Amino acid sequence: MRITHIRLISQIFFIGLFLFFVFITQFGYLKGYPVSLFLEADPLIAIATSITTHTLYQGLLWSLVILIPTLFLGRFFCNWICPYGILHQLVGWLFDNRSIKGRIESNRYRSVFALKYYILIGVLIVAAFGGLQIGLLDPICLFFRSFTVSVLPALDLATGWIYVQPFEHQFAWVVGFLLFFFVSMNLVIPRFFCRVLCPLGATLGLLSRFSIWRIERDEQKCVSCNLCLQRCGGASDPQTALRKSECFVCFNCIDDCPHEALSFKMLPPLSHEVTLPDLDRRRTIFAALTALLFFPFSRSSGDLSKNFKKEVIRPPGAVAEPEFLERCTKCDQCIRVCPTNVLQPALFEAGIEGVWTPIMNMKMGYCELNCVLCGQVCPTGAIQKISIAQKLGIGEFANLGPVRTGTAFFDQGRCLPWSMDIPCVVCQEVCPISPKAIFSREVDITNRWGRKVKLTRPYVDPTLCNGCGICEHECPVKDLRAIRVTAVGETRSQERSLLLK
Amino acid sequence: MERREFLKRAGATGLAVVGAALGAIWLHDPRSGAEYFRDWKSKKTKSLKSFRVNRLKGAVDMAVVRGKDPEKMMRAGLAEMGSIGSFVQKGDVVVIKPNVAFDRPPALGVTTNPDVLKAIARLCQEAGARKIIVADNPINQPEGCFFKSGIQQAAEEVGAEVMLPKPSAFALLKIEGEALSIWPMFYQPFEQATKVIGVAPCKDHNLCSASMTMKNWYGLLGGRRNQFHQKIHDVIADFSHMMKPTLVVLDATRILMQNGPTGGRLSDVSETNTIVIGTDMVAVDTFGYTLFGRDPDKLDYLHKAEARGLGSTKWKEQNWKEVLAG
Amino acid sequence: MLLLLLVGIGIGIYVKGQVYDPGLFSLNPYALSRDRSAEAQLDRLVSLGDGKSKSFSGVDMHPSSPSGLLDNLAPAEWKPLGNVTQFTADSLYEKIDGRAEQYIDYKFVRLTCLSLVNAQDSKQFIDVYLYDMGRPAQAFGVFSVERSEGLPSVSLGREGYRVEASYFFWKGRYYVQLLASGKGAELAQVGLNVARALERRLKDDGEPLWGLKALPEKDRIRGTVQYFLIDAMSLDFMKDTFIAQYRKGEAKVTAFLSKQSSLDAAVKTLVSYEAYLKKTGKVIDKRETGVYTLVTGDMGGTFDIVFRKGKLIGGVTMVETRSIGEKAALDLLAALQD
Repeated sequence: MRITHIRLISQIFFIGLFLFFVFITQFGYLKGYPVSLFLEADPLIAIATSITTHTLYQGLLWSLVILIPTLFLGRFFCNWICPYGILHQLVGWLFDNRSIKGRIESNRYRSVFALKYYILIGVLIVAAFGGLQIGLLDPICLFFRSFTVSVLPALDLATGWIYVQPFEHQFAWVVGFLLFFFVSMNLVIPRFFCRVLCPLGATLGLLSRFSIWRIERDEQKCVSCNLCLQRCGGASDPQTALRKSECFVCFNCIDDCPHEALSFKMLPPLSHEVTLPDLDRRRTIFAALTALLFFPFSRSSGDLSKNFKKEVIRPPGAVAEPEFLERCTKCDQCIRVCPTNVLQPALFEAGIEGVWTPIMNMKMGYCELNCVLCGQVCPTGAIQKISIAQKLGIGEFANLGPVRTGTAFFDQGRCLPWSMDIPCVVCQEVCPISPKAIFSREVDITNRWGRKVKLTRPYVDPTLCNGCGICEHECPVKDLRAIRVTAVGETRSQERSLLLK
Repeated sequence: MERREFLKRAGATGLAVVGAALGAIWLHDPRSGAEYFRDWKSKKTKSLKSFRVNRLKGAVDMAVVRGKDPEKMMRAGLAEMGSIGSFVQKGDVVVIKPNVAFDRPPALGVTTNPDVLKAIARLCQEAGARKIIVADNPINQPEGCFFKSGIQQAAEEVGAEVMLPKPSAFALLKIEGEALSIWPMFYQPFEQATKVIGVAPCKDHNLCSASMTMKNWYGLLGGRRNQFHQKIHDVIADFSHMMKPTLVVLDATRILMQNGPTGGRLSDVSETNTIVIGTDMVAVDTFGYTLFGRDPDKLDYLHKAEARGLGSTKWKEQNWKEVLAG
Repeated sequence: MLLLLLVGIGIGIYVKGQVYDPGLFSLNPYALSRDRSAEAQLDRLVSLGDGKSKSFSGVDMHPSSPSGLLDNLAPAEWKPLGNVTQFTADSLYEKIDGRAEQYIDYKFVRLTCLSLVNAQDSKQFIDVYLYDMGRPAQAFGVFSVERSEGLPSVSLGREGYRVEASYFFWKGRYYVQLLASGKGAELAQVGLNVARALERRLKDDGEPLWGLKALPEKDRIRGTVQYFLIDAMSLDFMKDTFIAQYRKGEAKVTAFLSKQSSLDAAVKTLVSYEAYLKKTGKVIDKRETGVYTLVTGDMGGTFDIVFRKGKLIGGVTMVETRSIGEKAALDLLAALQD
């Protein structure tokens, strides 16, 4: 069996595994499956979060499984494991209508491929300041996010097989179109994303310089027919001096060479390769400068401190906002696993740094009291793995109190018993906390028609409210709810507390 | 290829591998969610240091003073214990913690006798204390309590600073007791304190039988203190773990014999004309309980504290003296 | 071998998937998809709660509250200090801390407080505590356990006494404390005026408490009757019990009387009392006539004699001389109508 066939089996296996994880990351199927394994094994996430948090969170140790073989073999991940890469390769192959000559030309190295290194330098510098932006373009994060936010809901609309109740996500169309765009660019340049934009590819490419095995061209046997470029994955110029940082270790070139001039050898002469990527010094500096300015520009927008956004209600177990932005890779796994669809990818509510980070939108759902699933799937600890006891503040956590994500406030002008003489109090009924965080007082009024009405008027007790939002979700005033939760009183933040406690 | 180049390249790779692995293990953070937040909170929590002083071997550790003039009584008592100078020195910032829990007048025996407070404050000043702070977190409204109990006026007369429990004066305290682990505490006075003296009234309490020098520290905590009522004896024992004061003074000039802790009737108050000064709050409270005519063997929190090594109920076996003063 | 590796990975993931904490999945997925607001009919009257509203500021302005009872109470040259504050069972500790438990044991409903201060001399103040105990027996209960023997009585409400310038009385379902800042005839007079003004506002249907009527007045020491809703004489089976001190010759005897809800309950209570006597001492006599059952216990130094007559449980406790105790018990029995 040829190595390329084995590679194909591996690709099928890993894309299958990826899709498996995507589908079972749902309450009811999740059990104990390590659904965030791809994210935990992603070396870019590990490296970037080590830079921002100075620690390596729990499961990110798995990244060594990818990292160490990369140090020996090179960018095998990109063609053997990466599910996004597999998708691009599949689409490129399916819709490829080029001639052999056309294919050869499309697989030549282009200088634009250096862009991913500039992007990588940019995000790493931002990370050094404490902002994690790799998730925007990291392929695993992007792919998970696209499935969660766009693909699955679209599938569900068509078939109804995915969710119990249809899930919707705000600005899903942006994520969907981005996915479509990147995938369709494969028709212009094969493996466009992988070659031009992928920061993970850039990381692995830089690490390839240590690799011991490489594609080696025997100059005696080679006749410069360029047929090796037909299906070259990384456009790494195997026909001349192999660019090690671009080679995907796909072995297609070895297959395609009619003279068996190519082989995968251990420690071939360095003179036959281009080890490091071709970076223009001035452009590198430009990328660095942009990155240097990004962080101060975004933080001085004040979104983290005084002008903190009330809509940024983070999931329970989330760490304080500055740390959150150091950890969240915008993979949206939490959004995927959330059983009530309350978690939504933010657009600019949390500032420019918080694009696609999870926030709660109580019109879409509410935070189920006995659920801590978001923390279980978060690969970087932006949402910690808290237990239900910790979330509720019972048992050993009794003196710490419950985890609060916000506080509810009444808009009395909209509330039916408060301003419209209509009895209601659904909010009090559905409040899951015991004793209830919504209490009421009865008043007897005479309505405009002279009838006596007994109204029960609700109040919030902020010492008990944990911001779950079921009151807001169930409030019958459906356009702008008469009780709304905002991100004040959250326990993860000392500055945003409402009461002394 | 050459051996040298091979070694160089293979070596570089090997180093990279080892470096990555070691780096990952070194940075690895296996904490659970609960531990993460506990650590995060503990960065926000404070601790109290011990305010105890070293005592010479054979020194008198508890003085029971009988008399009618609090100033004379305090002097006589401390004289037996090695004078105030063995507790307070020049430059010390002394926090005196009285009981100002309720807005009751001093005659009702529910709050600390202002004359006793003045006496101890004056003695500290004579010993060279740079600053005296009087602080408590009352149950009722603070300004009203400090005023009606006469403590505000007493503090002003001796030039002590009254610190009121504003919300910003509180911090999370790491207590790590049996019943209390982390709790908001009126921390501001202790930021600068070098010595702490608790001055507690001696009163009946319908929940824990008697409120004396150990229970006095309840007045430093914030939050929802009514939760303590569920485990009151464990909580009071925790106080002797939380606070290690320089001295405690049990103000038994009057004792509220029944209907405590709020009292309200002068008929419930007995003029017992006694002050007990000591370094071990468990011992002082054990003696103090006998002033009610009750049996200390039956007072749970004393024994819980003793079992945890936080003090001794065997005051009789310790070095103590009874003194008659003016 | 690479293929084997892939197989290994697959197996590993499957195995990992079976290892999980089911507690994480304890939520009800079907409840998640219900639209509950659709279930709530807009014209439905919802009356919720048990009347206890939790307060975190001590202010609970329930429309039917008696806060108005303390309005305009300040006499001439006095004025209110601050506002009227109210506390319910959940928030009572915010006012009286540990003492709250005792009132809650007596099914306390609401406390309304006001401080009155002398405009001429701010050091003189009177704190008014108006406890709504729900029922007259409960108001009498807290009143009786706080008072001591021998205090000068004052005609306020159904019963009242004075300690220096402070007044304590109960009327109907209310228990009132007027705590003065000091002593003195002038302050006492002001306090009395305020007490009378307040007392006039308190409603009382006058229905006498059965225990006060049933306990014989002969030889009863004034001001010693106490009522316990639970845990009378520290016995957990003695509820709803009146206790009084009697002078029998030289000795003082503590007598108690309790009306049970049914014959069955009375029988059960007597059985519990007997069991208690056996446990802490020994039963030395038991008499049964058609009318009553009487049990005598020797507690090693003192005697307890308890009887059941119909639904009533009564007797004497901690008596030093058996004969005196027996006579007192029989006297009590004879005096009972029921």
